[in-house]
Amino acid sequence: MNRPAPLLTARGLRKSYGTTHALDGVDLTVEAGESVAIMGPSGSGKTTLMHILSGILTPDAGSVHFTGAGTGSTNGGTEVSSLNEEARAKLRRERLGFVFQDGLLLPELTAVENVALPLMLSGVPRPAAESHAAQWLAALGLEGMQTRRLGELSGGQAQRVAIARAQVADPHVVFADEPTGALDSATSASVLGALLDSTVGRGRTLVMVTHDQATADRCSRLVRVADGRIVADSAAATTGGVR
Amino acid sequence: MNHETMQPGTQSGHPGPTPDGHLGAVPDGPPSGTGRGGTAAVLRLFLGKLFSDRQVWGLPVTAFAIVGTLALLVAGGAASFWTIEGDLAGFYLILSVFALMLLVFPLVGLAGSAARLLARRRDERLSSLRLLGAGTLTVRTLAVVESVVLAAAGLLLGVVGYLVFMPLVGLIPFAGRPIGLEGMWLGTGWLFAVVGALLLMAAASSMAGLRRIEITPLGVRTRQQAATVHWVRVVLAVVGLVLAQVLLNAFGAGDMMVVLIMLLVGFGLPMLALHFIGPWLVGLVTRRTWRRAETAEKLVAARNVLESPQQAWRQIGGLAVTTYIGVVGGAGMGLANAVSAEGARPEDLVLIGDLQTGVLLTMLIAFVLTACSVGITQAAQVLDRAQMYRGLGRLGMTEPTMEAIRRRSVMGPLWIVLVFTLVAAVVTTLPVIGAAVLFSPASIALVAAALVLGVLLVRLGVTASRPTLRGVLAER
Ligand SMILES: Nc1ncnc2c1ncn2[C@@H]1O[C@H](COP(=O)(O)OP(=O)(O)OP(=O)(O)O)[C@@H](O)[C@H]1O
Ligand SMILES: [Mg+2]
Repeated sequence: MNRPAPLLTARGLRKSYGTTHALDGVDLTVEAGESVAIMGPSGSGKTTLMHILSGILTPDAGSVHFTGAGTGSTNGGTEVSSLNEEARAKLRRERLGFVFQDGLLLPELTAVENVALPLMLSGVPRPAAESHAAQWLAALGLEGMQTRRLGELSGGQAQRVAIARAQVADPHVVFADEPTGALDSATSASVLGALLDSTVGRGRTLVMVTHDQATADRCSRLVRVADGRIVADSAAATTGGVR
Repeated sequence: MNHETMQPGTQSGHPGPTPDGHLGAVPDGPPSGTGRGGTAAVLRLFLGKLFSDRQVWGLPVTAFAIVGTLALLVAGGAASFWTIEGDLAGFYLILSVFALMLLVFPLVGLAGSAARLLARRRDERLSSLRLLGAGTLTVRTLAVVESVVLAAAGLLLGVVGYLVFMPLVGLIPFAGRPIGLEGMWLGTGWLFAVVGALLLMAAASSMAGLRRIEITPLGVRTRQQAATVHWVRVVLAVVGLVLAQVLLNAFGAGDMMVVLIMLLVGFGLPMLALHFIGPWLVGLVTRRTWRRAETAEKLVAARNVLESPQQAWRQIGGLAVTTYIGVVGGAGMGLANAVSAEGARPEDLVLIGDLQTGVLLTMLIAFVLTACSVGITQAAQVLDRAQMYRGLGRLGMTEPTMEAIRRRSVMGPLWIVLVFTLVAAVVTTLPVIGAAVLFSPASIALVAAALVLGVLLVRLGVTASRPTLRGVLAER
């Protein structure tokens, strides 16, 4: 095989909360350009898996390897789980994007300020950050809503702002946890379209937790989780066996 | 929502509906009730749990302990002047009333931020109860009883705090000798009066917050409505009237009446005016800061303040007048002391010294009250926005950055108020301050030191809520 190294490689992930085994030995490989849907019953460990993959949580055992360019070590990539809190925060800020179910936008900021925030946190001057943010808002169909605040946006619009915020630093991977969970099905479909277009549509990678089969069907790969383990993986068919 | 197809049996140990939509065993029908309110049962259920979760009682009880301690110490200190005898008795009395007037605003601000805490977490549970159909009486009783119980527990600790700090505060000298324990002791009557007033305030504010829930259970549930507090101005006016009434009764009309009217008109009205102008000024200057903000911290902090300049002012504004008086009085009295050092009667020197101590002390107390209010409000805000802070943390915003934002959103308005006040002091009393700089640099240094101490105290108030932020971030 002559493929480039996978973007994300997780090996033997375990995580327990007291006696609850949220993750019980998970191996997962994500290639650049994939859109991975993670499905599974409530409490099966989807959020925990995503938080460990993205360096929000550290696993009790196992490792996560990330080979995005500019992650510090030039060739070999980064061992996410061995970074300290500060370094993981920097990684998330500069290399990863996030969309949550409840967009978690700052209500006192305007749409454009919310989107510009990650750039400003990375030291980009405000005018540059805001004009770049405005372009992203426009690209996501929010032209003319730059100066609106959270209270003046609909749920779908707010979620598009959150998507713009996730994209603005041009991350290698976007992680989304039930990004359309709070939206009706029509809005959900259009927001999902925006999310897919802005990530895999541009050769980037998307890892998304969802409860909705229709949403999962639009991704290139489906991973099913139950009781802290991966029980099915549509990509496994091509390589033979669960990865 | 949960339409995915699941192989049965993969989900084990989870009670309730299974993911494929089939219900487990369901109880037959609800047990029949009497159909009447059930207030007592609900009350017992909630009160029994009130002190089992530190998240619920920790902050309100601490807040009211601080409120109680400070209010009693201030009242005790002020009352000590009423026992001073001799020619100058009336003079000291007026001084104490004046100091109390200055401190009413920050004191009410502090008590208000403690009272708002009571409404915080509880609002949600109560509107849930409302949605479940709990009767008005049940909801109202529960809200008031819970608030009063929490406030009473805190105030009880506050009384202990008052007793503990009494000897320390008693060391401050006035009229030629330390105030002393006896001077600081309010007497049981006044002690109960102060505690009772604070309890009433807690009950009243919980009732006021309740009306909102009763009107729009859904509105509060989703935090759509901003919690505005209108009653501060009313309380101010009422306290002023009550004070006037008490003094009139105690000393009869006559001279005192004239002096009081002078005080009210001469200082009360400008103070009120200032409290209308203040928010506007804070908004105006912060808007400039926002426009020029280059970093994320400055931008978010400025937006934070602009969200409600009134609220920022409520917290900091009490410092404007006390700082003005502290600076002008401190410099003026220092000057008077320096100039009249030779050939003055010893009583006069004592009086001048007392005035200097008094104005600086009043200023510092106002800073202490404000610092406590800032600490309480910040902790409450962090808890209110816990979800948001965790989200920002996930996006890669670090805790020091969040700290910087919180610090700036408090210290920004504080600097605005202080700079405005200092400029006003210098402009209006240039001769006094100028002469003091020349002839009594020590007194200017003292004023400056008190100001620096005050600013540090407020800064400490923000830092005090840092563990709350850390706790929120540690929780995933
Ligand atoms: N901070 C925590 N403390 C204790 N237990 C936790 C914590 N976070 C998650 N868990 C437990 O770990 C398990 C996996 O949780 P996780 O949030 O990953 O589930 P999920 O698949 O995302 O569920 P959902 O679809 O409901 O969001 C659950 O049993 C949950 O109760
Ligand atoms: Mg989840």
